[in-house]
Amino acid sequence: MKACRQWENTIVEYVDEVCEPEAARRLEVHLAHCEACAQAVRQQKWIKHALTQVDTEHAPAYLARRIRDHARSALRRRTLARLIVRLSFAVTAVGVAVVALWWNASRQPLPPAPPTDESALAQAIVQEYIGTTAGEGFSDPSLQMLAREAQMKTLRMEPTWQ
Amino acid sequence: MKRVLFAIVLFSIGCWSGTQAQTPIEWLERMERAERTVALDGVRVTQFFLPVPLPPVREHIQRAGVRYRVEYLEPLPRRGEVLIDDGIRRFHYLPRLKRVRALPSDQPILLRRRQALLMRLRRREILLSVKGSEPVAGRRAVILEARTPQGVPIRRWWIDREYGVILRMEEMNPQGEVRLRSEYVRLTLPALIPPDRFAPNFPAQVVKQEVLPPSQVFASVKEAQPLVPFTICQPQELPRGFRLVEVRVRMVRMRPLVSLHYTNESASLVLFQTRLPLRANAPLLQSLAPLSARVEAWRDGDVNLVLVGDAPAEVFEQMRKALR
Repeated sequence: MKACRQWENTIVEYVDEVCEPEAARRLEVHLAHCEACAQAVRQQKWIKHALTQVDTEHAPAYLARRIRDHARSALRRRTLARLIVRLSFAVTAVGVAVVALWWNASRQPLPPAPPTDESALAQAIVQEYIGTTAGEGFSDPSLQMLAREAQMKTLRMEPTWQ
Repeated sequence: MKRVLFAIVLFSIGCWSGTQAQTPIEWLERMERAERTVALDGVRVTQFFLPVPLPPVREHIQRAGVRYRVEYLEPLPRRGEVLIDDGIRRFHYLPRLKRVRALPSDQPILLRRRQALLMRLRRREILLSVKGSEPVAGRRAVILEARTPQGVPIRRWWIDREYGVILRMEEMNPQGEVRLRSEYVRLTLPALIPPDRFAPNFPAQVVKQEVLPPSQVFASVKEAQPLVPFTICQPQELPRGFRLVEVRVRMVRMRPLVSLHYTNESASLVLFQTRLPLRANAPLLQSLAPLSARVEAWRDGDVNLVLVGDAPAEVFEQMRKALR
């Protein structure tokens, strides 16, 4: 006689005492009028009880030691291999990143960090100062632009375009 | 025959007196007129010397009055760049970036500075003298020198005797050392330049970029005051020889930065005022050291004041006292 299909999982959980209280109550109601399921519960409980009664067979000490040693060395080998693979991945990744950064840096300067209030103000002051002193007196638009650029170059700043 | 000889002598005397009778200020006024009216075509070399000499810049300049076309020939990285300025708009073509930057011309500002300089010369706040003559680019030139009342040379101009244009110019620092020299090495005077040379025609694929000037320029504090939410602070009296050139208002982080620009034609002094916080030892301000600029900052109420300039320390002290 087979237990009802829809109750099979619940019966296993019930026997293992991990069933939700509500599910357990509903199963118990079902067991009251389903002999097949009640028998399945009895069988599984018996098997569980029987398994707990079985004596544990101990391996001989020399065998246990060999098994332990073998397992340990296998674990060490595996760990070492994993470490080597991970390290080689890391070294390759760092190498690729360094080459990419160098290539990028050689192509264009890194974007400047967003200026703070103070640095934005200081930058404006420097630009205004240069904008006035450059090309005073008799100068033309080109001369004034060149004078401003020369001052910017002296300060190692990027030219502005006013 | 006698009559012919007499006419030649008279003509020679007339020519000689025509050049010799002009006073230094008349030469300068003539130069100012020529810079606004004469058409020329030539190659000019400009070099900056201080604090370290920079590579010379060679430009092909075509000019008709206030209209300019400048093609850069050297140094190599800027070859092909073109600057066109018609007195109202300026276009700067950068072939490497395939870009044209369009912005308002600053010729009105330059004209105002020239007129202020002329006024000071007329008032003899700056001394002007003729220092002889010398040929430049195969043309005869009169040398004019401007000095402070203390005798420190500020600028020298080599002025074309015939047309009055500047053939060579030297600008000195407060110590009297040449910091800029600009001179024509080839020149056609007067030149006939087709008007389309001043038209902003650039290759079709270039991107046009409008650039707004970062600051508004005013002639006086009164004009700038309506833009600023605090009372613009002015010195009760200026250090001897200094004058207010212009007042600028620039927005930084949505707050105005006011700058009052002073000069004695040799040194400059700029007084900045803002409500934004700033320390005198801010790294960027310290970077002005290569330009021999001194920086002092202090607070007055909720306004930060910063004084920047290459004027001597005693001028800074006078200015600070006059602001209290």
